[in-house]
Amino acid sequence: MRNKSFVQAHSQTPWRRQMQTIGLVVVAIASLALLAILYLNVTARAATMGRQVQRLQNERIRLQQQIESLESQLASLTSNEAMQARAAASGFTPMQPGAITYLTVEGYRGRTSVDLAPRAGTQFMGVIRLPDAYTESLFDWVGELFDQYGFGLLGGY
Amino acid sequence: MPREHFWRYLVMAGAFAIFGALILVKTYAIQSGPQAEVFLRQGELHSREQTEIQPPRGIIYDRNGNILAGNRTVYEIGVDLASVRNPQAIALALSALVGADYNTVLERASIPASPNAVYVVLANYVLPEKVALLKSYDVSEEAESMDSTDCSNDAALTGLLCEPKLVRSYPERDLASNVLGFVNHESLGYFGVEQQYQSLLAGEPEKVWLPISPVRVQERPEVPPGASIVLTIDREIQAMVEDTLDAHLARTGAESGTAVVMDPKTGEILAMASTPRMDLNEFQNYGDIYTNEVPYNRAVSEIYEPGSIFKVITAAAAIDTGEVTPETPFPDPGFYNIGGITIRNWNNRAWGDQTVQGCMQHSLNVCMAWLGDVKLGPTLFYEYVDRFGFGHSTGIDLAGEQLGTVKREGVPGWTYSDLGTNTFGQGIAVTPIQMVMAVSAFINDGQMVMPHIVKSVIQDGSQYNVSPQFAGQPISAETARTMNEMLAQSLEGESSLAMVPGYRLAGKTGTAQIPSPTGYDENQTNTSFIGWGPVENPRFIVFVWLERPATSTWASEVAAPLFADIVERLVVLQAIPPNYNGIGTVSNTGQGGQQ
Repeated sequence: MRNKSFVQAHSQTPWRRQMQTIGLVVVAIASLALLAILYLNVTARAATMGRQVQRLQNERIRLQQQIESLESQLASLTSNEAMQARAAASGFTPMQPGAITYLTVEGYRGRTSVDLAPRAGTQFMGVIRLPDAYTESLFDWVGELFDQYGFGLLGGY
Repeated sequence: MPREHFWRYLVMAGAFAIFGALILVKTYAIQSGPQAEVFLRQGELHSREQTEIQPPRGIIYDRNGNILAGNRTVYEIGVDLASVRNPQAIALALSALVGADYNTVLERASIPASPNAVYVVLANYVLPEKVALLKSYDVSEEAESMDSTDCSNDAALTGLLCEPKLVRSYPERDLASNVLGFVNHESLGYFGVEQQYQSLLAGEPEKVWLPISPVRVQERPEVPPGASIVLTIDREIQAMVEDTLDAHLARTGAESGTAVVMDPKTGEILAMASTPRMDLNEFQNYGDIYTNEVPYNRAVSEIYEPGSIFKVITAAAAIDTGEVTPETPFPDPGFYNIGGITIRNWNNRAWGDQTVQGCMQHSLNVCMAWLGDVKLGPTLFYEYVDRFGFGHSTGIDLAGEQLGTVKREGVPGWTYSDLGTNTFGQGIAVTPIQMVMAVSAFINDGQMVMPHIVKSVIQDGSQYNVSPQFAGQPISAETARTMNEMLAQSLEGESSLAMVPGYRLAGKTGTAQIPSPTGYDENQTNTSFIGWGPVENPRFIVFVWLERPATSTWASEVAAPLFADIVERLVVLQAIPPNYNGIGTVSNTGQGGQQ
């Protein structure tokens, strides 16, 4: 009898019940805060990576422009006019027909067609595809986990 | 907590709960209401910015991979008005280093920033060297890296932005300018290959909405660059032809010149030059150079009366019908009456007993009028003219091709006398490229090869080659071989200035008086020559045309030497060994050779 009344008194103590409620609320808030921190963290990392990708994209465009510009510059330096001038300055003169000795090579077909197609791996790669980890939201991730494991757990046994 | 006050907490909690519920209800109402789509659109609009992605223009190469048209970086210099601190310093720097006008820059850089005035362009198409000067303007600081759009690290120049962009560059300057055409600052191609292949070279600029959020960076579309093009033009041959043409223009005092070199087996144009030419990097001078509607490329865009080189068409038609052979006799009386006019020879004399071979060798107008009138007749003659492609497009892939003018039987304005004059190339107008395509039939067993300028296209990482195409068969293979031999013998028989030692060539001169509103002027002529070689296995067709030469009015004296000079250098560049001793014997040295 005495023991029963103690239990009853303990369970009915108001401050304990309040503490329980407050505890639950605090746990819920803490969980939400944790989720928010996690979400912010993932979002911030995604944004940082996105900025990096943007910077690299701009860098790639700049480098492509630079390559094209340098190729044109090189073409100017090796233009027909420039090469003729360099040859003349080096003491070369145009070959005269009478000064040429021809050697006939059976099967030789002269210069073949120039192949200017870019090497494999250097051409346009199409649309950039980032891993999902950098683009999905926390909710997407949780949903994916649920899809991946949740149904398995529920549907097992 | 006193129990009597507990209701206050309940009221507060209830109020918050109701407030929260109202927010949820309102949220749901907004998301499912009629305005939902509008809000979504607005949200989407503010999460992106519109921009046009201009892919780099494709490169144009010659057949050996030398760049004829590329791209180079220039800069657009502007100011972010909200960031400008010192407009005077910006104006001073740009006027001193870039050459911009101080007052104009000062005025623009001083515009107060507003929603309608965010950015102002101060200078455009600025060379990288000048931008480099700006970037190192403040010597006390380390130079700004070139990948930043900030022009300078000088605090006074804050807000000054240098945005790089690509513009067309022509490393060979005026070489092959008549073929290439040019691109203006709006990236539009004008004339030649640049115009003909504008859409292919330019790619497809895309106006896109780019997400502002870096998280959505993968949504930025990749715009593939424009396709690159490999031309059939050989840079060395082109330069040689241009140099030789210019030298002969100076020597003969001709008003203009045109030269075309084509591979007769494939239709590949190895060189194509006409005057005037211009440095394509300074395309803005076009209006000053091409005055009075001067054609940009005479080889495809200017028609002229070809004169005696057209006799090869008349002779080929007559032989192809079987009515005559090279040995068919023709007693030349020195004149021929047709349609009420009298045709005379170029020297106004009678050449007596001739053959068709002799008619070609001595270029007799009377004989041609006889062939046209008696052996062919107007219907058959114009049918052959049509089959050789005159009056039609050759299909060459260059912008601005003209079709020529052929007055056919039955067309208003045509008279029977036109038949007589047309047989020797007067009263009919053709383009040089039409003549080149027509005579290719003599080399390809009667089949004409379609001239073309693009050898291959490089797109999406692959190179696609253009195959040769035939443009019909106007004559039989036997007639073609007969013409080939007959024109080689004609050249040898005349001891023409067009001959080149060591090589057996075939060809025909053409001198045509130039028509004017008052009739034909004897002292104003178009002189041209078309020939090919080596006859036993032709590797080239060369066409030359000098307009109104001053030193002589005869093609045999001005055009034939130009042809010979071109061929003499062409055989060296093409590594064609000499194999002909000039007395009708060809030694077997093979088709190709190594210098």
